[in-house]
Order: sequence, then structure tokens, then C-alpha cells
Amino acid sequence: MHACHTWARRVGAWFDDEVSELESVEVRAHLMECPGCRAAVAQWRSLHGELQLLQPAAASAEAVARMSFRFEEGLAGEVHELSRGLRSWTLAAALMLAVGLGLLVVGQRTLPRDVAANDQRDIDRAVREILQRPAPAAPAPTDQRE
Amino acid sequence: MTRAHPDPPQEGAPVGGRPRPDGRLESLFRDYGPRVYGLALRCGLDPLEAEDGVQEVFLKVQRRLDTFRGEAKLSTWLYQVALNTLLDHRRKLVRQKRMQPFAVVTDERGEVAAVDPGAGPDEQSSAAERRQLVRSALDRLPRKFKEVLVLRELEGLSYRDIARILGTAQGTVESRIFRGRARLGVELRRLEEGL
Repeated sequence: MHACHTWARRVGAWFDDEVSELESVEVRAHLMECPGCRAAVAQWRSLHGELQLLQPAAASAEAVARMSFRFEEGLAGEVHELSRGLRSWTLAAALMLAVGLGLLVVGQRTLPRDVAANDQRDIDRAVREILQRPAPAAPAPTDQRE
Repeated sequence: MTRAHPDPPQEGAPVGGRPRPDGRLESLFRDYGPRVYGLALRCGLDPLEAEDGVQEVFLKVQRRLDTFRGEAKLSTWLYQVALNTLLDHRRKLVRQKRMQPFAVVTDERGEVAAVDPGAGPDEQSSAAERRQLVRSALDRLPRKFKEVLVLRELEGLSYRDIARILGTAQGTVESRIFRGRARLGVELRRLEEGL
């Protein structure tokens, strides 16, 4: 026998003490006249009893202590791994920074040679060289009439 | 499944000279560790598996703690992580142990948990068989029914709390509990009839 369709869920909620006082009165009144819903409630009660067979005994003090130890060790291990990973990354970053700084220093030392125009004396020398160059030969006159 | 676990250290002893974990997490474990362990047992893990499950849960919590945005209560969030982790853990174990589709809930001495000490050997054996049958029936349910029944019938949570944990509407929880009970009844009958 099944709970009647229209009341089934409300009766279920009543069984779980999840209805208001007013709804509870209504459900109880319905149960008085509905053998299907009464049978459903009896079945739920039986199931609830059976499920309580799965209730575990409380954790023993030894189990709790063992878990606490494993928890601390496990998490400390995670932190350890994390900090080790972090250290590796830090080392790599430091190395890259050192290489970068080294390149910058070397680059600054070589810069005046490469960029000769930055030096005023080199500019003057370059201008003098240009001025001392012989003037290019004038192009031969061409006969316009041809 | 038997596994040797290290003995707990003496009180105050350093843990392998390594850095200590986050203080927030330590207090979370202190407050909720035994509850998560209880949930693991209710999800069908045996005591040693449950201890592994608790480890797994709190490692996940540690990794995700910074992503907790405070929209839900911390306990609700912890329940979400724990339930998902433990049911996944249970499912993996059931798959691995094809020969034993469900585990009897035993304590660390390998004895069946919650046995009435006043009961005789025959009664205890009968209770253990019944317990196995119920566990097996529960394992046969789709996850959506199993999780609501564990949270309602075994954890004793309200519909509202279950809805928050599962991130679903209260009406959905009500409906799943109703349908889950019906399915559990069917599965129990099937098992009793040897199907």
C-alpha cells in the first residue's frame, strides 16, 4: 500500500518534523483516514530503525589521537612540500635576476662604444670627416638638343 | 583492509622538525575532525579507511581554505567538502573491492560497531548480517538519494541544512528523501529475496 499521491511529500516532511504546527494537525487528520499513508509512515519508521544499525560507535580516544597525529604530519608535509617548492622558485627567480643584472651591467659598459654618436667628441669627429670629404664630381653636361 | 599507522607522538613533541600547519586548520580539525570521522563511518568506510578519508578531507580543506568566501557557514562548507570526498572515497573502494560490495562497520579492533554488548553471539551475528544488508541496499542507491539519506537519517540534519550543504532547494531535498526512502525499501526487499 502506498502513500496517496497528493499527501505523500507532506506526510514525509511531517515524519521528519519539518512542518509547521498547523500542517502537522492537517497531516495527522489525514493519517486518521488514509491507510496508505499510515502504511508508508510505518515503513519509514522501520527503515529509520534499520538505518540506525549503521550508526557507528563513537571514535575512541586512540583513534582521535592517531588522526590528530596523521593530520599534523600530513599537513606539515604539505607545508614542507610547499615551502620546498617555494624555495626552488625563489632560487630560480634569484638566478634570473642575477643574470639579468649582469647583462645590464655589461650592456651599460659596452653602450658608449656601440652608440658612438652619444659622445660629443665622436659627433665632432664625424662632422669633420664629412666636411673634409672631397666634393663629389659635377655631372658631365649633356646636350639638351639631342 | 589493514594498514599500520604510526603511533601518535608524545604530547608536545615536534612533528618531524617540520613547520607546523596553519592554526586555523588546526582548530578546524580539533572542532570537526571527530565529526568528519563519524560521517566517514556513516558513509560506509571502515575505521581505517575512515581515518584515511579524514586525512583526505582536511588536505582538501587546507588547499581550498583560501577559496572559502564566507558565503556559507564554515561548517556547511566543510560538510560539502567532506561529503563529496568521502562518498567518492567510498565509491572508489567499492569499485576496487568488487568481491565485497560493502564493508561492515567495524571499530579499530575489527569488531562490528554499535553492537549491543548485552546481545548473545547469535543476535550479534544476525545484527551484523542485517547491517550488511542495509549497507548494501544503501550502496545500491543513486548518489543523490544516498547523500540525503545519510545526512537526514544518520547525521540527523534538517532539510534546510541538507539543502545548504548540497546547494539545492529545500523542496528538492524533501522530494529526494521521499523517493530515496521508497528506493531503499525496494532495494532491501530485493536483497532479502536474493535478487
